[in-house]
Amino acid sequence: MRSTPNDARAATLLPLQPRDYLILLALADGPLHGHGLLRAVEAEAGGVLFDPANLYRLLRKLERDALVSEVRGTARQEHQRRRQYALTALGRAVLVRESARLAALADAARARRLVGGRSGVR
Amino acid sequence: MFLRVLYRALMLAYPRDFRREHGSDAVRLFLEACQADHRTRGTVGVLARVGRALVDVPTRGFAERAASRRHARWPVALLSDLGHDVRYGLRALRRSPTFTIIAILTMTIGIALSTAMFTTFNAVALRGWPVEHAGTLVLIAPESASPQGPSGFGLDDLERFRRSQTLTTVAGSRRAFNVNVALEPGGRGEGGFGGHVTPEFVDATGVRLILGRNFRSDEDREGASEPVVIISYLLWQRLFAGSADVIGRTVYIGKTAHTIIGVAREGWRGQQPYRDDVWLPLHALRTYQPQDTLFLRDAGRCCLEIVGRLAPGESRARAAAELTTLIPPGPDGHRHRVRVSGTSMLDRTSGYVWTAALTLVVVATALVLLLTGANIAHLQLARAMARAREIRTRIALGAGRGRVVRQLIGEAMLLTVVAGVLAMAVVYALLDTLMRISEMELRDAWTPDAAVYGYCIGVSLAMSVTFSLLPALRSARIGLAHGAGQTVTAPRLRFNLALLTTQIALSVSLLTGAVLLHRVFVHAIRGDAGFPLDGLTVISYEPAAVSPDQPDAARAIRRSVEHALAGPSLPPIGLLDSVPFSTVFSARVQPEGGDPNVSYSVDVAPMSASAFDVFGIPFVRGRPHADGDGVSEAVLNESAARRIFPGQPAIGRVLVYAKRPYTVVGVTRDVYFASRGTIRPTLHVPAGTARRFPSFVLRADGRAASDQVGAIISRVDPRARVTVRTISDTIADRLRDERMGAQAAWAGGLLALALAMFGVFGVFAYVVEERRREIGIRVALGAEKRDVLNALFRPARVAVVGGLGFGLILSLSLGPILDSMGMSLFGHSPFDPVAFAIVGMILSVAAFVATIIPARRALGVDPSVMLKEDA
Repeated sequence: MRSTPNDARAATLLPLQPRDYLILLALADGPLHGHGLLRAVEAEAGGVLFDPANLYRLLRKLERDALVSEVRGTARQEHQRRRQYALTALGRAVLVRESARLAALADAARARRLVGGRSGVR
Repeated sequence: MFLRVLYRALMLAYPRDFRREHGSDAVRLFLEACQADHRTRGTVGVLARVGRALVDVPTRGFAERAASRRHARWPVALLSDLGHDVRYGLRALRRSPTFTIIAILTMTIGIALSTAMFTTFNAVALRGWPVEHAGTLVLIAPESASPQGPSGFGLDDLERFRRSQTLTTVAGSRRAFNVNVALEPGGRGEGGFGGHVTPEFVDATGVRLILGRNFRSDEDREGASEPVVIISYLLWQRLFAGSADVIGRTVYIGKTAHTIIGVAREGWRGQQPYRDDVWLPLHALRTYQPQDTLFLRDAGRCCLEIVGRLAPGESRARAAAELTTLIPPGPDGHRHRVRVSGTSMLDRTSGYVWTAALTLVVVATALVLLLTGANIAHLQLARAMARAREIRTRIALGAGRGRVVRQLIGEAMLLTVVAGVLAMAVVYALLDTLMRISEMELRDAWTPDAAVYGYCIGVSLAMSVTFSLLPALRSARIGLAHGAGQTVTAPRLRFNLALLTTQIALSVSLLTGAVLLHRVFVHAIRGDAGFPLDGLTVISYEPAAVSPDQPDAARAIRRSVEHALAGPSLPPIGLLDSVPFSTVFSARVQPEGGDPNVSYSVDVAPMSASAFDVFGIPFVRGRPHADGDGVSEAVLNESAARRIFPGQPAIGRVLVYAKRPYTVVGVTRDVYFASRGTIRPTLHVPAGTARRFPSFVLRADGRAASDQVGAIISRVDPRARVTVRTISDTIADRLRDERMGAQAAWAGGLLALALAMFGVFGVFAYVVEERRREIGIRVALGAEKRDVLNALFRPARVAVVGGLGFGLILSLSLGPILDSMGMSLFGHSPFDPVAFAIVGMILSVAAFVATIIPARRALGVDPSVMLKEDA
């Protein structure tokens, strides 16, 4: 992995809170508006409910840390009034590093036979 | 709507800048998520979402406030402490789920009851007309201090008021009753009330028309060329299914064709508390009631209702003063004063009604609060005692007393918040049910508004204070020096037992009424009316294509329908002009040759000879009358025969009904025919006398036969409107009041019972908690468990048995009470052993459930642990 200024900053933001990680992960495929994000995060969390106000609170925090930025939908889109959120370059870097960290942890757990093979089933 | 308000309220926990930035997004997202949950998981999904929000939003919100200490001021610090208290309270409440659930349920019932009462009061009395800027819409009426004063204003006064400077618009209106709006002349239609209004009415009220236009002034004058009408949104939906091309179409009001020129917006139902469906020009009234006092020159001032809009910056008092000067003084030189009021019911009435209504609301609220508060006080005391140890520990570890008290208050507030939210949901559900079973279309007026929410919050706060303050103060007195939890002194147990007895008595009498009404209702629709009711079905039809000036066509249609029905595969069919228990009408008859000034009122039920067989109405004397249009034979029931020809044989005598003579050929036994409650003198004449298209009656199991009849009618006249109804359904409709009464009594009785049982639970739990030490010692000394329980629960058992007794005595007064409400028991005695037995059983089960948990706790006392705890 090439080292960029983002990587250096990303290192200071690790480790991520689980909920922050879920949000960044949900945005990895592209920008989402609030409802889509809520659905995606709840699905990732295995059906645990996520409070909308809390979602916006976390998004605001992530925005302050410059991990996420607000984008306006193009005018042709149906939900043009809605705010959409997207990963910033820094956000993507943090997500990549955090994922690597978690993967390493998962490997460690696997080595101790705490979880099954690749599938990760208990 | 409710969820939106709830979430918005919860969001108040977040700092303002957050709300400004994300508040509406979060609310919208929450509602969308609720909808999605509802689609995927149903109500449970929504409840889970709401539950998560109830916990998450306040805690995270206060955390967020605490985090943004940049703007920190003292309330923030306090609120963040409160956040801790809330979280601590949540943990404490989770440790004792039974207490939590019962406390929440008790408070929910209390808050819901009083909020429902207030909602009613609000809808009936406090709310103005549902218009924009309702504050400047005023009603103008004479201030009639003396009984000889004018009863209203006339057309001349309306003209004078139009010169007013304080009002921008003035409009006159007059109510119209029994308006029947149909698509065909004289056809069965819709509607009930309407208003005759001047064109300014639409401007003054500010009601937008969603289609079409307002009346023109040339349409509101004497001899206007074409009758025009504006219809309500609801009527538009019902008659035209919301069709867009309704403007210009014709409806019949009575027999007069009216052209529709406008449709009012949804939700405007006219002048509360009526439900208007049509608006006609004021002068159209001349067509319907040429003799209306409004148009009589010397009738004095009558009877225009006048509404106006205040000009900007003007007050009602100044408008009243100005309008008073516009009216010329009477012959005696006395000038009548004008009263200008708002549109709500209370505004329109004078001072003492206000006072009385407010007193009623305050007393009712206080009563509910007292009962609920008393029930909860015990619960809370028992808990405070059980927690004395925890509180002592916290004080020993250095918690300030204020902090402990605040924390207990915090817990109480937490409970009341949850209870308040649940109560609002209950109120919505109650209103929904009410609207559905009463088929009222007054949803707008009844939907809770800011006043109702304010009231609910106020009651919840009052509840949380009564609920928490006393135990909190007591708990704070728990000192380190004290040994056991004995510092919490016994409250006035006897007073509370008396309260409990009253509650139980109340719920017993309500439940008895419910069971009684229920039994009466079932008997009325299933039982015997003098002839068996089961399976009787009436099929009515209304041909589409026949107008009143085509008697031959009508006769042809009728004949071919009757011919087609004579097929062999059907059960016997009778013909009826009026449906029993529904459209039987009364008329006056005279015996021929008698005193011309004497006539008798009888119910008239024209039907064919075969119908007597179908119903199974037996003849006492004589035979059924012959069928046919020109036949002049009639049948009386025993009551009619006795009434009209007392002491003489009725057969062979002649009666004059509708200016035609009928010879009496038979007398039937008395049966219930027009009403389920009373037997009235009844006259039967041949079918077809009163209606051109008689209905058919047959007796059959299931719908096969009646569907076959419907199909035959449709074959003869494909556009005919056919309705099929069983007699039992018809009776059920007529008994709607009784059925609603039974449902209300069930709901009220079960709620009251639940409250009472929560009270019993609280007292028992308290007694057990208070006497733990004694129980421990007794058990250690070898007392039988049964004896221990007996000693503990004697006072509460007295309350239950006493309540049952008092309740049964109370329910003896049900007969007259129901009677005064216009409900009949149809000869059932209010002293109904079956009803009493059922209620007694319900109460026993409830009392058992309420005592089982405290009893188990009492028996679970381990002497060794107990004595060590106190050491």
